[in-house]
Order: sequence, then C-alpha cells, then structure tokens
Amino acid sequence: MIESPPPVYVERVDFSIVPPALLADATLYLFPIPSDIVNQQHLCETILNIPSEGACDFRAVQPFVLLIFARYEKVQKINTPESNYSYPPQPNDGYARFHAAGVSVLIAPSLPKSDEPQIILFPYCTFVDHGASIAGTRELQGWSTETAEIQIADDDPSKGFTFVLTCPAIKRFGPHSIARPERLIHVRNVPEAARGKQVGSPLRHHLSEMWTRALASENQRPLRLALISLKQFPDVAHPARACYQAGVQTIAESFRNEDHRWVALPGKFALEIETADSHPLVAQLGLDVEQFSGLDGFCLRSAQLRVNAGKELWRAP
Amino acid sequence: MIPTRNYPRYIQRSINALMLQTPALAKGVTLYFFPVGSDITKQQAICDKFLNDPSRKASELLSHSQGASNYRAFFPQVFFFFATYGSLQSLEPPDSDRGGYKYLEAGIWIPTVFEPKDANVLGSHLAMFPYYMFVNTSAPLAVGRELQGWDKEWAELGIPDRAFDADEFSISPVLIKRFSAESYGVEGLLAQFRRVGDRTDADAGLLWTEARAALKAIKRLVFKDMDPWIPGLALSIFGIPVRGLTFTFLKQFRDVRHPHHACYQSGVEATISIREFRGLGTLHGEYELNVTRADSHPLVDQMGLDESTFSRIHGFYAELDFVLHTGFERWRHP
Repeated sequence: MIESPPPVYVERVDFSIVPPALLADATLYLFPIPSDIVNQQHLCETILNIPSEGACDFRAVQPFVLLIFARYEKVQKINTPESNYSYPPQPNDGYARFHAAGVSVLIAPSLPKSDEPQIILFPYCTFVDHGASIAGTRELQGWSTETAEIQIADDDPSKGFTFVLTCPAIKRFGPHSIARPERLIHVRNVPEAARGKQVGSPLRHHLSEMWTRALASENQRPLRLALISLKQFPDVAHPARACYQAGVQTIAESFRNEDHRWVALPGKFALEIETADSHPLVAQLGLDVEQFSGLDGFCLRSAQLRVNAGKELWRAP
Repeated sequence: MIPTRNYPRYIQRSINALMLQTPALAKGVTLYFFPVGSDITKQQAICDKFLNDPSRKASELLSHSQGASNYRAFFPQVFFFFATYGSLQSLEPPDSDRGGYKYLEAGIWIPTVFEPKDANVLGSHLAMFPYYMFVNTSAPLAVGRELQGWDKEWAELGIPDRAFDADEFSISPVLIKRFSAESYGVEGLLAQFRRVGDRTDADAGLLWTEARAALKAIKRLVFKDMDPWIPGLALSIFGIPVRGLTFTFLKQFRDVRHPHHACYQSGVEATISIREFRGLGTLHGEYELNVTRADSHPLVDQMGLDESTFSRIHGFYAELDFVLHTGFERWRHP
C-alpha cells in the first residue's frame, strides 16, 4: 500500500514556535524526589509501552523522579539546519519568555542502541505560564501540557529559593465540582533544624555522576536529551478512541558554551504537594512523602538548548 | 460517507486528563455579540484557505467519494463574541461525575452556508466558522482544539459579570506587533469594545424571554433591519429556527517529523443545541471598537474589517444553557 504524503499544515499568520527552536539563557532547577520505581514502571507501561504493541519497551531506571522548574529567557524559531551546531543560530519572527515546570521519569529502553541519547526522560506532566506554548507542545511533541502560575524566587540566594506552581485543579471529584486554582507544588529552602530524614546524598551522587558522564561522552557534539511521549488526539465522533496515536521522541540538545554551569544548590529543600483528585501526583508516582523535607536541589544555569523536529517511534494504523 | 477506521483506544491519563468529552453541558452561559462590518471577499478567502481548499486536496487523493467542502461567506458582518461560562462539564461518565470548568471565552465568527457541490444533494445549512477563538483556561483550550478542532488560543479576557454592567470587553493574547528576530511575544491588548457615553436609564437594554420576538427586535435595533438571504437555503438569517447552531472547523495537528505538515487533518462539524433559554437582549447604548494592529493577529487586514463601522456598534446578548454535541468528520486526509 502506498501511503499518501502528509498534507501541508494550513498556517495562520500568528506567533507559533515550531522546531528547530532555540531556548536561550535557560535556567533549570532540578529536584530529585524519591519515588517507587514500580509506580514509575506502571506509568511507562500504561502510557508508553502497551499502546505501542511491542514497538517500545521503556524501563524506569532510577528510584527518583525529577521535579523541574525552568526559566526560558528567549525561545524562538531558528533557521539553522539541524546538522549545524554553530552558536548563536539564526533566529526569526520573534521570541517568547516563559516559565515551565513538571515532573519527569528517567527511563531507558530495555535494549539500548549505541547512538542512544545520554539522558532519556518521560515528561509525565508539564506546566507553562505562557499561553502560546500550550498548543505547540501538546500538538507537536505530545506533551501533556497545561497552564499554571509558576513562581521562581531566586533573585537573592542569601534568602533562599522558593518555587510555587498554582494551577486549576479539582480537589475532590464530584458531579458538582468545579476546577479552582490550587497551589499544587511548593518547594522552599529549609533551615537546618527543620530538616527531616537526610536522603539527598545518594541522589546527589547519582545525578551528578549521570550528568558528568553525559557531558564527557562526546567531544564536540552537544549533550543530547531525549523526551519520549505518547502523542494522541481524541476522535471527534468517538472521543474514547484516538484519531491519531503515536510514540514520539523529541531531541533537545545543549549547546556548549563557557557560561554553562551545573551546580548543586545550597542547603536542603522541603516539598509540599497538594492532594487533588485531578492531579494525583503522590499516588501515581509513588512519591515518598516522609522524605519531602530534606531534598537536594540542582541548577543548570545559562543553558542554550535547541529543540529539533522529532520522530515517530511507532504510529497506530 | 467517510469509511470508518478502527481507531485505537485513547489512553486517559489521571493527570492533565481531558475531562470534557462530548456531549458536554454548558450551564449559566452569557453570550455577548457585536456585529462588525467585514468584506465578504476577505471572509471567503479565509473559508477557502482553511475549509474548502484542504478538503479539495484530500478528496483528490481518494478513490471513494468524500466530496469537497463548499462553505460560502455571505454576510457583510462578522461577529465578535464574548462568553462567560458558569460551568462546562461532560455529560458522559466517568467525566460527568468528576466536575467541570468555569471560564471565559471570546472570538470572531464568520457566518457561512454549506452548499453541496452537487446541486441535487440536499444538505445546505448555516455554519459558523470560528476563525479566531480565545480562552482563559487551558483545559477547554486543549479539549476544544484536540477533539473538534476549535482553533483556540490562550488570552486574558475582560468580560463583565452582568449585562447591565457591560461597559468594556477586551481580548489580550500573546501578540507581536512587528515580526522580527528581536520582537518579544507578550500579552497585550488586541481588541476592546467600550461603551460610548454615560449609561442612563433611558437607554437601558431590553431583554426578551421569547426567542422569536427577541430576534425580531434585535434585527431592528442591532442590524437596522438588514436581512440578507442565505444563498441555497431560501431563508433569511433571521428566519432559521432558533434551536442551536452548527460550527465548522479545520482540525489539524503538526507532524513531529515535519512541523509544516500535518499528521492528521480533517474537516469537522459540530453543533450546539439550546437546553434552556433564559433570554435574549440588547446591550445598553453604543460601543466603539479599538483593534491593535499586530503582525501576529492581523484582524483588520485578514478579515477585511470595515473601520468605518468601529464606532456606534450595537451589541446583544443571550442567557442560556446549551449542549455541545459530538461532532463528525466531513472529510479526512487519507
């Protein structure tokens, strides 16, 4: 059977950022949160592996998930071909500035290939505070993105860091329930005396080692980060079915530059997660709430990232 | 008819879940409308680009008869609309037992008539093409786009709580005034309706609870007895039964491998039907429209808006509950 070529996307005259895109001057804060690997694997099975009918077999590989808060100072389309790693690339049209947050699971294929990216993430949930990013990330990469108010208080490190994510949520499902803004995630520095069980050190070691290995693995090529997602859209006539469903891989590459810094944040952090039926983070990810008060934090400063067009790992017929 | 495909099951997630599967009930809705003069030729160019031409290209690739779409613009005005939703909630379990969303919406609708290419085929009907749509909450944005193809974008919206206090309406999406490498996309005022002059009891708006009488009055007060016939239907726009409305869309998603191509593309129609009609009324006094000229949102040029009609605009509103029904694909790219 000869497959017809894909139709041209009918473009509006609007502001949309399609790959290849540059995420310049990015600051990413990462908090490894202890998590039951069985729960993580269950999510991988439900969302990534089973729908692929054998095409994919991803494994959760760490006993923690990554809570990420990010600030992107300049996000824009670029004209530079994907094979060209020169920096800065040629931008066009205009740019956006926004915050993002989310929780990602570190995964690996059960049979890794030699050219596998150094780090593979399954972005379990994603939030942005910029409306133009919602449709783009959901419809192109298949990320499950929603809008949220995201606060990153990091301008005075001597006062500590605070991260807050507020989004519409339903605390208790019910026929008369209405989504209201809830402070879903709150991370803050904690004083010494208030710290609970210290669990950060093994995770700190894990993450630093992983990152160092990734940076050291290839000389001139950028650090490559793969994001794996289930891209799907409901069928208009039968909403319980998907008119399009595919496993999608997107590659983000980090340009090497002198300002690029990977640092451990001072002190320990406490995490609070609101329990909401619409956002069951703790239950689904098997997060260990007893360890929420002594977390490590890391920061990647001045990162220059490029997101390229991705590929379909599989596609439902 | 389009052959049915054996589509895979949609994998429902328990976080970031789309909880607004159709049919869905919109309760406590107030819809505000402002008709603004617009060049029919420009409207038709939009209909051709987004509705007719893609369907023609798809039908040329198919062996079975799918039929190209033929939506015709016919009305010398487009409708700016603003809506407050008390709640929008799925009528289908399990989502019907989970809850709903309260939000604001706005946009610009182009009235069209669908005319089958084959004159012997019945099926002409009125269909609104919501060319611009803005919403202030991400759940209705994502569901609207992904389920039926409503081309919604996020915006800050200013909509009064009550028709009586309706002094100002505004739409502020992420916009760029002039495209350039150094332009920054930021939330900004795109369109604003402001009541002109002081509100007095003398020009208080009128509210009717019987739809036919209301339409007759709005035809006189808002449209100055303009009453164009809908080609192919042999009806005036005010002569159609007031039970609901059909909308038409281009539903499409970018291909992750080739972002300027679509991995899925179809023409979709969906209807809303009135569940409970509480009233239709005129807004007090006159409004003026201010539009920001922005490369990212070229409303005036693209829709051929007639700037001479931007002052002395009359608005009307409806209070109702309605059901958004499950839609269908009129055509689909193979």
